[in-house]
Amino acid sequence: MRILIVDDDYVTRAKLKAILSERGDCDAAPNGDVALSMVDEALNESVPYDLITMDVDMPGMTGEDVVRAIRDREWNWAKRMGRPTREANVLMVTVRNDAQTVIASFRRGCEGYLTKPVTPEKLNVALAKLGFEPKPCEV
Amino acid sequence: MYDEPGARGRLGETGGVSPDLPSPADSAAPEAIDPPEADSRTVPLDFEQALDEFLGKWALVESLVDRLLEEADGQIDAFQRALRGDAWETLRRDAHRMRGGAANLVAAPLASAAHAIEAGAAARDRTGVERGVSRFRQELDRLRRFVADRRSPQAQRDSALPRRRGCES
Repeated sequence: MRILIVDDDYVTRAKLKAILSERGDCDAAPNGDVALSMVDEALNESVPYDLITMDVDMPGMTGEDVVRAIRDREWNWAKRMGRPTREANVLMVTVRNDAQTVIASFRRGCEGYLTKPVTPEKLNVALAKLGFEPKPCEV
Repeated sequence: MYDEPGARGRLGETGGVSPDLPSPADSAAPEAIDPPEADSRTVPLDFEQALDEFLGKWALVESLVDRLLEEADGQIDAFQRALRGDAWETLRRDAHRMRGGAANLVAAPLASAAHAIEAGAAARDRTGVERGVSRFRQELDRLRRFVADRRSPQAQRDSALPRRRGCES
């Protein structure tokens, strides 16, 4: 499984990587611009990301806008390649839990929402809701 | 043949709200991380919980604590510069980032102080930010002493470093 972690805070990136590296290969990006470059690269290699964790409050693009841009890229890639769209599962990981941010995130195309601070247990539950199997050692 | 971008996560069109949405009670709260008010009784950093949350990766926790201490130290000057220049958004965002980092390392008092700065910056409350920065400095000093004590040879003899149960191989 290919995983992309997008967060401007290095502690969060390190923590998510520590937990998620047991599930697959993790890349990390500190902002939306870098994340979109990595998504482009993954699509061009035809090895798209399966899971993307996305912070909301970052310098430059917000997480919601990055998600929307990712969905546009996935759609354009599918059209160009003549293939069905393959969307990565996007899990928002943020301190914000106000209704406006949550709704905006889902409208722009995320599938799950997790509030910080991240713990292995919370992440496991959120991933299970997205259809990923729980890690045996965390059950 | 092609799915419309973002269609899977849209609200309204599918006739329902995702089950992942927080409850109305959760949504009423402004934000998720709400560390306890810092006082001298609150442990500056819960190493055991941090170790648990980082799946027992002790070296990683130690390196992140070192980096947090270093960054927070430089951040105090940056907070003050931003305040002098009325750079409220920079102040808010930097405080937000420090808060997230501290909270994810289970350094609740430092996260709480950063939250105070963030809230003050969002409200453009100069006095509130100044109080927050002062508290941030105190909590950072306390955290630094706590970490140094924890690493002293005596402390290491007294209690072996915590190790997470299971999942370590």
